[in-house]
Amino acid sequence: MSLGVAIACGVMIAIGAACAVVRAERGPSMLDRVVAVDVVVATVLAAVAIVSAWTLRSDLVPVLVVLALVGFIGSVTVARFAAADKDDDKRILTREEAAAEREARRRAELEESDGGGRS
Amino acid sequence: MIADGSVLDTVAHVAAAVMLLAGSFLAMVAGIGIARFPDLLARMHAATKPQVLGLALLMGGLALEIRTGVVIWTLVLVVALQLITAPVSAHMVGRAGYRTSQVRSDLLVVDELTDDLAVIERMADREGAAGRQTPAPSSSTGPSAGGGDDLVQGPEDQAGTSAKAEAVEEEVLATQDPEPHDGAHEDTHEPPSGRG
Repeated sequence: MSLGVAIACGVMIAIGAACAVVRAERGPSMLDRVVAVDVVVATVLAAVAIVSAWTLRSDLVPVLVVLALVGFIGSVTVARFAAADKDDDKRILTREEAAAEREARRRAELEESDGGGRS
Repeated sequence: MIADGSVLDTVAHVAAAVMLLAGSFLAMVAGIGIARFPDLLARMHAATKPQVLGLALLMGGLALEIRTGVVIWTLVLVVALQLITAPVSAHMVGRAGYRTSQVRSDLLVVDELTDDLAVIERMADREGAAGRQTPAPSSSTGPSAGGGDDLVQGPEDQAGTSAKAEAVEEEVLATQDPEPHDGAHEDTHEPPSGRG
């Protein structure tokens, strides 16, 4: 296996993994994320296979077996417990939104205690 | 074993390189597809590419690079495990996606599950209505006549239950009747497979 082939394989696998990670971050539902994580696991499998073929190390082969099993367990578990989310609960909040939400909650608590004291 | 530097060795190296490149290409395609496709089922379709064919290609390439018996059998085991587990996880994810209504029905060409569920619901409604009416004298139909016999023949339990079972079977067959028609109808859509 020549260096050029190894680099080409590595670049393609890296692009695939990056796109899958983008989907895992953006994916509107839990199941989209789990499918994306499955693809990440598959790309990791591919990367381990490329490393093993480049260095001719046969001790990496058991890693492939373990990875092939673990990805399956993860996606089955999440699919088993998938629930219908409300639209609002589906997405991950950005840092600003999370901070604003926390602030609003704290203000509401403060107001509650203040209002109880005044009236 | 193949001697180093022989023609076969070179062929094996080239074939391994081609297979590894193809597998990596499928991994990239899956990443792009999963980032761009519009709904869960389409993304699952993209995700299957490196899980099965891509993995088989990569393992084949690796086996051609490392030509050892133990390694080759372990790689066969990897592919076999993936072939067994990938459909299971895909089935569960698709089912959960349908149940939590993440399948966009406007993008589907064929949606047999929704049609079948509608048929089953209609059947259940009809059965519920029939169950409420059975006390009325509707003894012309087979099942209720069997039930009457059962009431009359007190001691012969076995005969009664078998008659009941037959009646239930008949009912099930009668209610399932539409489905084979659907199947036959759909079979006509597809071109005849080239088996035999």
